[in-house]
Amino acid sequence: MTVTHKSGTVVRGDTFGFGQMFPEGLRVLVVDDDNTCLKLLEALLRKCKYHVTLTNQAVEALRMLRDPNHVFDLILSDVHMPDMDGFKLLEIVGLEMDLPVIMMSGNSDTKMVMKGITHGACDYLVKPIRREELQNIWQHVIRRKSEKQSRKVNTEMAGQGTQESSQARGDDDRNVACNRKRKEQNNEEEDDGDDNMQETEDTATQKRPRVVWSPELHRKFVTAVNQLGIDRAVPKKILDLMDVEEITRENVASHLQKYRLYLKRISLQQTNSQAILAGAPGMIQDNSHIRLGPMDGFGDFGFAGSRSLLNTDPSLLSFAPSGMLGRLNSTANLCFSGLTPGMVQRNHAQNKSSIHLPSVLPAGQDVGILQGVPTALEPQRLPQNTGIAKPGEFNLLGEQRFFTDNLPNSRVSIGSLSNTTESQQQRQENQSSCNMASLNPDPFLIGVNNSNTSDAGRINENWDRTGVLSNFPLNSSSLDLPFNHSQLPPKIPNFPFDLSSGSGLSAPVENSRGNMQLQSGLIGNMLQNTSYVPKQEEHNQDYAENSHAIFSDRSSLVSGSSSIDPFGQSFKQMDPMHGQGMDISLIGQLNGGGVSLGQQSEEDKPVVSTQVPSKGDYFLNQMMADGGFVASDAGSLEDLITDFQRFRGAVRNWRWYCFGILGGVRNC
Amino acid sequence: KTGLPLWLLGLGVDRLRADMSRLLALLFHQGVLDEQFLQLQQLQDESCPNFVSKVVNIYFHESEKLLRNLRGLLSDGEFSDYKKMGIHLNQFMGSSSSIGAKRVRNVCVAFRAASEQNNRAGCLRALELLEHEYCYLKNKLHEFFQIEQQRVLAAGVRYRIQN
Repeated sequence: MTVTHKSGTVVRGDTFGFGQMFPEGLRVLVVDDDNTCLKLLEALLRKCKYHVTLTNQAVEALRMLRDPNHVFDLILSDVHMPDMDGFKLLEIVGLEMDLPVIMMSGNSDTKMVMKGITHGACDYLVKPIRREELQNIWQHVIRRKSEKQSRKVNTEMAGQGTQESSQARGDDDRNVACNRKRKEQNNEEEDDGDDNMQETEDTATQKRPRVVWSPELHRKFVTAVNQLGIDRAVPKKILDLMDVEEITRENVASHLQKYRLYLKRISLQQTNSQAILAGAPGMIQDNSHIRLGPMDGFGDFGFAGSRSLLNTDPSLLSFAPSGMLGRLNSTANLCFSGLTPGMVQRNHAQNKSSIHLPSVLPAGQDVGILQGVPTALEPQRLPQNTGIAKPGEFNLLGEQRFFTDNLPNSRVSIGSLSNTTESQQQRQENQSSCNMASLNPDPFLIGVNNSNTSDAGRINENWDRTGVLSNFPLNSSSLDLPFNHSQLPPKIPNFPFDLSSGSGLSAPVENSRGNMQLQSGLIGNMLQNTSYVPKQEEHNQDYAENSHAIFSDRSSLVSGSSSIDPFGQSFKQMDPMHGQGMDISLIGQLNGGGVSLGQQSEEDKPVVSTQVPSKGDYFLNQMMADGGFVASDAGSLEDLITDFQRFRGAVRNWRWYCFGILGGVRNC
Repeated sequence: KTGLPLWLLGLGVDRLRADMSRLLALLFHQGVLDEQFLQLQQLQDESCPNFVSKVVNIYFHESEKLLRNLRGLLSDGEFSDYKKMGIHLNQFMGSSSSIGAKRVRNVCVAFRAASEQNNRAGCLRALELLEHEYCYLKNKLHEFFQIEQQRVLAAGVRYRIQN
């Protein structure tokens, strides 16, 4: 497809080889199968003065990346692509080229975000992507370069380079993980007091250089620990098993301590998710289903460790009760023996008094929040766990996990968290924005909540209104009225829904009942109740005349052809096609009327004696007046469907109209 | 040759601009478009003069393909590939939200929910609604661009006359 390549001439200067104008001239490669987004991103990135290359095929992107003539600094890749999975591309790039990759998706599902991060993405953006988000992407490039540099320095010093808190983990493919680890480090240092760094410093008063725990090293470590059993793993034995020269017993000891804390944190998450799902203290006993197995298999923790941690999350979410309580017990004890003081310490230290359940959201991505969870929840949960002491903490994490899972909004916070340095502030904001959704475990609603919080706000409004609307006496009698009016007007030109010919009125009338019910459910979501009642009597009349007025108005303004006139033409053509049965999509017809109605509500045009299917009008009113159609709750989805079925056949020529439009559209 | 004297054409510029604003305001009020559309407009400048209409036309082209695919999937009596539908929907959602087509996107969300529940009837309803919303959006945007074209034309005339 279209591949536009802009060769960049970057002035080599300071800062990691970038010119003075940095971040201008950043060479970005965008991979997305959606051409709309591709074009949009191109414009956005150009506005940021980056050099942009586009492709809608992942294979083409790889080819360009492997081509030595093409140099890129950063890659933006979509997640869902037909020829190659975005995550796969991500991994390949990480392995072969080691460039920062930012994932994009229309989907803000937490699982996907998690997957992106665990596969090594620097960031995960949700469409629509805003300009501000793109203006910051250069930081990922700098961060990676600086990590590479320090890692190089470390290796140059024979594996004993200076260990900065951020580079300590030596895995520059896991930027986010590094950041998280850094935060975690900081938190631990602040709160625990028993700082690993300090310990190493204390023992290394001789100024021994820090050891860099590379993934291979850590893997060996974990293997050794597992071999010995987490209970009996002592630094000396681990060191022997590992058989690595450059590390000392003290290094191993501090690393082991961190590992244990990490494992504990994992299990906390499990308990939380499970407890939240349970929603009741009684369910705490079902801790059994939480499989702590995955924790043993953590290949790498901390740095790359976040990856494995998150990889196991799906398993954490299996809420099938089973008789694994005993196993839980053992593993719990295994992991938690001796860790309580540390944890409690941390909890107290992290006393976020403002924490309440829904607020622990963006937890998966931020250790700080994870630690904060136990504070609020622990006291409530623990007392109910008689048999198992520690699983109280499990519950907390279980809740947390549940929310992270069910609140896609959390991903928004994650992205922005990694993008900016405001941590607490943003978390709070995002938490509060998620609160609303978190109170409703309904999947449909949550799915809807995927959209921005403004939509969520509307959902709440609509809930209120649903109550109002359902009380509205929409019985067919009131509907019949307009239909039976002898003043059924003559056909109004340009008016699509003209049933004035009188044919088939009985059918619509019959269905009107269903229609109104449809509307009560459907419109419950889009309702503006104030305008609703009065419109019932007047709408018929207002409708056609307004549409007519609008149309003629427009045609006077716009000389020659406007899209409305052909529109009107097709309307007229539709008229002969009575009796075709209605299809709800025919609200297409409402397009024309919709314009007028919308304006009517704004401008209060006088009532006209025109006939219009009242239901159509209502529907129109609701749709036009309130916009966002689908913000609804799960309950109303069922209503929606039944109502849709009834609505069918109510207005006949709607279907033809829509087909006409679609045909026209498809021919465009 | 529109039959109007040139200078009169030029005077229509302001009125056309007002029409455009009114149409946009209506679409915003109806929730058909959201502020993302404004972002699109901001990206349009001298270096990309027709940016918005270009992007929107690409969107139309892609969307109609997607709608056809969706319709094709659901017309099949043996249909069970909800996953494929989900993929199409994801793309539709992404592009719609990038354009600022809020209502279309919202219907996609509901559609996706129905498909995740393997609810065929719900999917059918949602598809119909989606087609409707899309039609409406397309018509309105066509109208918008037509007015825009005329405005540009008239503005060009006015400029020439003034000079």
